[in-house]
Amino acid sequence: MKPRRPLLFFLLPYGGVLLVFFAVASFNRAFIQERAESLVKEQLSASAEILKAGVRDLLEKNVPPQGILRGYAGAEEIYFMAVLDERLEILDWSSRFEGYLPFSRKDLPREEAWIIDSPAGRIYSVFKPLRTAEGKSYSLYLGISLRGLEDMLARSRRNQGFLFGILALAGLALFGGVFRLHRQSLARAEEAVVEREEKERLREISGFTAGIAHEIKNPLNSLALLNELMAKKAAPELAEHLALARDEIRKIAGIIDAFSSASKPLTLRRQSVRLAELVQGVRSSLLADAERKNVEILVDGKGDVQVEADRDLLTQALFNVVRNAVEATDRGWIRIRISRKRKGGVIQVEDTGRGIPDELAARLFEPFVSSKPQGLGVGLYLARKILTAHEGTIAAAPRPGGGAVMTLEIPGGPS
Amino acid sequence: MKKLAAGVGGAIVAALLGGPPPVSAVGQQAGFYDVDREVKIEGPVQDVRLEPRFENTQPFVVVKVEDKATGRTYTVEIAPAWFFDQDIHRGERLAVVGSLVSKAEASPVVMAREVQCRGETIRVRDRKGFPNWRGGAMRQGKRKRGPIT
Repeated sequence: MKPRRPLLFFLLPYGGVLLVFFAVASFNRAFIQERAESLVKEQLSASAEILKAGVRDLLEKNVPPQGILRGYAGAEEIYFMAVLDERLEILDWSSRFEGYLPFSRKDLPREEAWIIDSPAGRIYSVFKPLRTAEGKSYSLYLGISLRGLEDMLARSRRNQGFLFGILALAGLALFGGVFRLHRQSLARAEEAVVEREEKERLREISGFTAGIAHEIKNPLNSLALLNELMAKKAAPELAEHLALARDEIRKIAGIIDAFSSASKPLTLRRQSVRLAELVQGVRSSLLADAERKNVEILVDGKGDVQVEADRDLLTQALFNVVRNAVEATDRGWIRIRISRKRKGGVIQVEDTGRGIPDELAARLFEPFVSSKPQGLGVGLYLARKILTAHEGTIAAAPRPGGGAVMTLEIPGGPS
Repeated sequence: MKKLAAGVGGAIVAALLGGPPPVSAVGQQAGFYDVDREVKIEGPVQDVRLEPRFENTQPFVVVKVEDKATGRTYTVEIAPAWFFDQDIHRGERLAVVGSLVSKAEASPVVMAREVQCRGETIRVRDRKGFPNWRGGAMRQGKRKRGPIT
């Protein structure tokens, strides 16, 4: 699946589901709102009837209309009320808001209740004519707050918005995660393909070099024997030339050995290895070369770090790394530092040499890659191969101030 | 839903029939804003006072204005002093739109909706008489420049 496809496959359907949810929730809320309003209005109408009966009762008991509402003015929900005579003149009135009685004779009489929008919220208004036993006609005008209903509806709207927001966020988080996982698996698949191709290429190279090595080794052995024979029988003035030939034959043999080592699969023989001893061994081997260049090899760090590893292979890996450092350093020093990391060990090789050329930085551990004109590009490749076989890592980084730092991490100390 | 409706209705019924005695409601010594009796007056201020107008509320700014068109002097109830923060002086010209709440020949009373003073129009009530100091101003804006409507 292409990276864009998940948008189509996940986000669009999810957006559709959200829309449907929103539409259904909105319709449902509108229905509930309508029903609630209807019920509230019925209740308010009934309350108005009770109030009307009370006022009529008072009027029939000859309580004067002026001041008749004083006893009814305490209800929080009643915003205003008024008693009118048959000519629609106000006889008594009260209001929660100073002087507010939204009343116009042009609109009256009205049989149906109506809603007034006011800054204090919607007001259920009703005009109720009433007639006393004596036959006198009055009207009761009432305004009752719908704030309770409005609060409930506002809460319902808020809840719906909140739920919708939560769903949208949860969905986005979920599909974001799915999308990321998908991209990661795609990247891993691509890496696996590249790795497989690389392995295939290396396998071919290994087969090829192994074949060449085998084909060269036999005649090279013969050549070495012949050279020795000639050295025994030749005139003394040829001895120097024959020694040079012997050295060159050995060099060719060394190259063939290096190629063979690089292409052979590794078999580990793990044992407990004290890193300090291993480092000292490598230092001793390269000390003469370093001193010739006036380069100091320093060792510091923990002396008691031990790992379970193949001693010979690990020695070879570290030897290759330190030899590289010696070759790259014309003056100054090389510092080998040992430390512990969780159960494993870390060896850092820091030098003050020429550093890593930018163009090689990414391919430093690939086979046959070298910055030296006469280098084979096998040493660091082999070091990485050994570290990988130990499930460890090797990394290179430039050293601030010049030079390079190689870090070898070897996991799994002795239990 | 039914619960809510029953709650709303029930509270009213309880208050009307058997509930606690009502608290003191807004009194009737002042009139209500009768939208059918809107008038417009304009003229010099003759007197400025602070007078109580409704129960349990702060005193109102009350001015007497001589209408230049009719020559009659009106008592104009504007708004509570804390809300109406204009400094009005005697002799200053004032234009008022409001409701005629008392037609008493001696001193008719007008409940102001809009007051224009020094070119500034101050709305103290909405068109149905809802007082802006009780929340109406939040929605409608208290002041503007230009003629009163």
